Amino acid sequence: MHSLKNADLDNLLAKLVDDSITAEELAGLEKMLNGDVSAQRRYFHYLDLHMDLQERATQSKIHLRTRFGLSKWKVAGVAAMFCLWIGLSYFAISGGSGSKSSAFARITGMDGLIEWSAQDGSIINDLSIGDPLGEGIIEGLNSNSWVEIELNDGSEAVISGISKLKFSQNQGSKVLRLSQGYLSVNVTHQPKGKPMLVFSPGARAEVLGTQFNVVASPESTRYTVNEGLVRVKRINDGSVQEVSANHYVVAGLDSEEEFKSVLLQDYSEEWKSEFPRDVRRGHLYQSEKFTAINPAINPAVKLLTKYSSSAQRLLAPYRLRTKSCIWFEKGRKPELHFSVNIGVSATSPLPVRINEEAKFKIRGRIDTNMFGVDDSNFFIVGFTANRAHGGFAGKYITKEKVDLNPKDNNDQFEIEIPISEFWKVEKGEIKDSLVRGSSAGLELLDLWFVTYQNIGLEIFDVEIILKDE
Amino acid sequence: MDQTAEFVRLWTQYHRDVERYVYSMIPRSADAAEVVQVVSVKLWEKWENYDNERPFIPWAMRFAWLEILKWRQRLAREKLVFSDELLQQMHSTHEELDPVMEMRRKILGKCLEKLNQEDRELVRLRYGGRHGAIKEEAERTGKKMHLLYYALERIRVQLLNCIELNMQRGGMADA
Repeated sequence: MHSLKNADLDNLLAKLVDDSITAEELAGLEKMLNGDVSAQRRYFHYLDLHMDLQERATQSKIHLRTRFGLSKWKVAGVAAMFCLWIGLSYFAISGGSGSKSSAFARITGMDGLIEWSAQDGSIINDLSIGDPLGEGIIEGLNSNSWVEIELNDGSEAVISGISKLKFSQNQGSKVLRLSQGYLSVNVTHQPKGKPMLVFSPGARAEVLGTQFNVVASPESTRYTVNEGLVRVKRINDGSVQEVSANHYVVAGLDSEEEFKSVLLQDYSEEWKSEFPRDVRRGHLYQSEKFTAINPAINPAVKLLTKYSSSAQRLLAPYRLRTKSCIWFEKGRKPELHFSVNIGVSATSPLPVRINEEAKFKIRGRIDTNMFGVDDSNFFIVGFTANRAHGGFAGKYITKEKVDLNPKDNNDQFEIEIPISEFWKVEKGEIKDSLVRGSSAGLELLDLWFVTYQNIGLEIFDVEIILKDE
Repeated sequence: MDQTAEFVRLWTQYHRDVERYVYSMIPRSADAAEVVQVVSVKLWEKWENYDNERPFIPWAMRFAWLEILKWRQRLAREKLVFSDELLQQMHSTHEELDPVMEMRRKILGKCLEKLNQEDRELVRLRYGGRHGAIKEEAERTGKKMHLLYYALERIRVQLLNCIELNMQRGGMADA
């Protein structure tokens, strides 16, 4: 039954499903499959078995998911389904939040696509202001999403952009778990011995009563305290920092990095993106030129980049390409858009503050071959801002379309957009509107790029420069 | 039934079949996930044209196939992509195989029960464990990691053989 030929084929298939197959081996696999229906059947059976095992393992451990995590394919699959799923469910599921029992909080403001996963497993996407929420997970699904909730003790929390926050209670303490994105919390005085606990990548904080902001990336969290005192513990080595008003601390997963409360007096008004560090959403890829020249060196350089950012320059530059997503704006039907999201404050060495004279310098590429009949030759840029001394300030986007004509330069472009061209998104009862409002002095949290059609937008890098330079 | 709710119902029921198909044609999970996402969006966009007298799966698979071809065109120069010719062949083979796949999945449950405790634990670690679980197991037991992966390869073959034997016994062999 199990011939030598099958043994070779199975060996390659094992490498394929274990993600260790090389280009040469894949070429060998293709040769074996080409014209051989029996080998093709074996291929399908093998891959189907692999996926079936993943599904079974995941299904049998739904209640243990937090312990064991989701399989890679499952994560990819869930991620893939994410945008559409939410967009569709927005229409399909009706009937309020469904979590009116044991209300823990209520929604006091929101915009964009927001998803609520209650503890009983139900998922709700038609949230409205005033809806009560029990314990569960609230997520912002798009760059333009934000939601403000008021906890039943009067504390207020805002998540913004692509963010995920779980909230629950443990022995009288309120527990917030921010796995990604941005959180701003205004905590009322908590009972003695029962501080609010905030968990985020690499850190755990105890709060008795204060206003603070948390920006979480997968590798680190920045806590910025505006009032009161927050005790932040770095999880991997247990070291603790007391962060007082007007101070911040960055807790990374790497215990070699400095973990120290820093006075919030220094800030930067200039900034340059660095991929993959700042990628929040999008398809990141590298030109293969370097690998083609010397495939043996590339892994070594990649390893070096973990320890030295200068080694990054030896690698082919990263490019961030848009991913499709259902985009929801108040007063409009959900539409298919393509977007990337770039984090700023979570990973930047200093908070980035917006100067009135600043402008964005954006380098990238669009694929003119993918242009449709109209609305092709532009993208929209937006950013999220925070007040410099606490709290979510809002979202800003370019009022006008950004027209490009990159034909002359291999579809590449370099454009500059002054900060003054960004307008604030004001939420309304029925639809949002754009109002002229200066963002000067605010802290920049993230920025995003959206296209209405898939025009293959790729961002090479973004800089914030001052106008005079 | 409301049209949107009907779409959600059908997609909920069958999206795993589409995922499996796309993954088998694009065996890189990140790329496959992207394509599945685009397929789901396309299906929704074209939902008005769906004839509900006809089965959903073949309709959805047609879109999946077109998106696979588009993806193939985009990455034509990449080495880690099957050729157009092979993709066409695989597409035909997959259509033939479709009727027996569900039966094979049902038999897998029985075959898993036949594995010994150690093998079952290894499968659990590989598929249900967190990222790096196999490496941790190698460190914990002092076994070399590649030997654990060889063991997994052996277990998969054992499961495939078990499924095929059961299919033959039931007169349903396809290969």
